[in-house]
Amino acid sequence: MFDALIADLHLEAGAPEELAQAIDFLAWAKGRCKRLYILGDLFEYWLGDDSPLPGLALFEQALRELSTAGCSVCIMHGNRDFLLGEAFCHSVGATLIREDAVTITLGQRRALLLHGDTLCSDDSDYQQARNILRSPGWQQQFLSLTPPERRLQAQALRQQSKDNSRQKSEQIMDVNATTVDAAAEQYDVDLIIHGHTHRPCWHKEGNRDRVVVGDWHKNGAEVALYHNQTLVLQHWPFKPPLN
Amino acid sequence: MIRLSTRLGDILIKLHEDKAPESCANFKQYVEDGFYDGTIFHRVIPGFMVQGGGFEPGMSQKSTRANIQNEANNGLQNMRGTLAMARTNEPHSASSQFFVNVADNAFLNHSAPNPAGWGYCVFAEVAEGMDTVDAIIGLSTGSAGHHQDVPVEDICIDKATVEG
Repeated sequence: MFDALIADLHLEAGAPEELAQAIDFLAWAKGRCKRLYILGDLFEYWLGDDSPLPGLALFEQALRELSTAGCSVCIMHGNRDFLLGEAFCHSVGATLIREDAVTITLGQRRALLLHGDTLCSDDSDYQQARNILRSPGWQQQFLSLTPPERRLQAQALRQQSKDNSRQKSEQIMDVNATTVDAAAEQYDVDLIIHGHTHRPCWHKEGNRDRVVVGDWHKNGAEVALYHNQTLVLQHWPFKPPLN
Repeated sequence: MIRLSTRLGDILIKLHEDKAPESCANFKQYVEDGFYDGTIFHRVIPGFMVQGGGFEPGMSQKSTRANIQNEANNGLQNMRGTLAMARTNEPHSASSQFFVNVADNAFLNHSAPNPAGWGYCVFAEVAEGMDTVDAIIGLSTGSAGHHQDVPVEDICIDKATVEG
């Protein structure tokens, strides 16, 4: 049986091809995966469990079928769906990971799982905004608004974030090496798996492996699969057998 | 029937000569010529498939006979335990390489007679020895040159024979 780790699906009704790929992946995982970790940004945005995104019923059904089939599904917050709550997770049979980072065991190794945005510490504007958006006070105030009000406010925030990103260098928006070192030391791991940067890659950093899973697009994504003592970063859907 | 002998056990293959005559004749010819003897399974992806029939240890690629016609429109599906021909992006480009599906890979099936939809031709199935295929799937893999998912320790078809 596999453990699968994915992130940055950014699902929304307006991206039907990505949605179809994700549903296919869950169908593949059913009966094959014993654990599925979704490392943040499952959804393009999330305005609260009382205001779910439209058009995602088939995906939610596939997730429910996967968990019912015995796969332990764990969902971590990303920078876009950090308001995802227990009610949604309960409805699909998943467990919400509230912490920014957790460790799990993959065979003989301990792995640190996180969305990855906290590692991008060079982006101080983002980190500042993150602190505000993750504070109980801000979230309480936001969730007390009506769904249409929340939608308006979220649109403004997303536009602002998009405008800011355009002006930032690629480097600022990637992980900071010192922050990665500190996280590895804090959790005492030599394996880190995260998403967020949309730069899927297997980084060899001294004795440490840092595996960045990819964002989903219409052709699929790079996903991390653990099976029989081996962790691989693999493209989903699998590339056909070529000569 | 075709028997592939490996150090992890044998795989007995039943050809679907009625559904994929050209692919079966082609495969059988490679077996009779001893082409597969000593070749490796060079692409092993758990949950997907095991591919072989074209490389010797050290990832040196063997020269093949001419490409064959793609018979993927024969109605056979890429289900677990079936064998299909590998190819390039050009639909009618299979030669010696084949793969064993270890999962139901519907996305490899024929859907339309165009480059995107031709699919991969199923021509046989594993009659005995799926446990051997699963043992191959369990091997550790790594990169070899620009090839990924290559078993770290070679797993060869020691001998391929036509039986019965």
